[in-house]
Amino acid sequence: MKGFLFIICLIALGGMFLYVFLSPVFGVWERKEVADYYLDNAFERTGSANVVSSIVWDFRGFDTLGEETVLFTAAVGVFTIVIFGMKRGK
Amino acid sequence: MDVIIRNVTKGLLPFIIVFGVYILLHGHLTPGGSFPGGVIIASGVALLAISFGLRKAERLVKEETAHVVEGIVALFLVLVVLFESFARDMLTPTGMAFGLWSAQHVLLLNVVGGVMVSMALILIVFLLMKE
Repeated sequence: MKGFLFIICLIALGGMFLYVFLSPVFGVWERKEVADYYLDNAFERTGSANVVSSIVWDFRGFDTLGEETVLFTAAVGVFTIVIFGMKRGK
Repeated sequence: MDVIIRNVTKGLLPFIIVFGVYILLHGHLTPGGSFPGGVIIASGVALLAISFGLRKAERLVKEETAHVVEGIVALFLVLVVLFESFARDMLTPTGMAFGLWSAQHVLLLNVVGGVMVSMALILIVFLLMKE
């Protein structure tokens, strides 16, 4: 049973590698209206010279908000673990 | 810690923190932004805490201060992002293009997010060193 599962996982992994190698070259695709829109209109719409910064904080603001939430949750988690560990140690 | 690390930290710490603030303030003009700037500031404080001990580092940023500032800044960030998404047209960019005072909301969010990142990382470092 274990050997069977192992072989299935191996075949799946090989298929994934094969798919990546046989797919088109990275960065070359046909429909890229969104990327072109960002590059053309980022400066007029936000006034920011750094297009990456304008995408991060303007066009994809909610994504960045989620990222900051992850960081906040990490800090709160470390705080909780350390405080409860100290209480239990005493 | 070692005397070499102590002396290097003594000389280098102001420059590290000033460089982090520079990256935060110029996030809308040059490469960088909120996360790299905050990480640079937090790594400066972590260097101080490692080389001189926790007590000396808490003279710069206290742990309670980090708690309070991080909570306030997180609330402010959520409010700003929600307000920005609802009142998009009120935040039209003014000011000189390519100058420091341009793209106001990107600048504001860069600084606020950077403060939050630095406070969160400082808090993690302090708590893990205290343990």
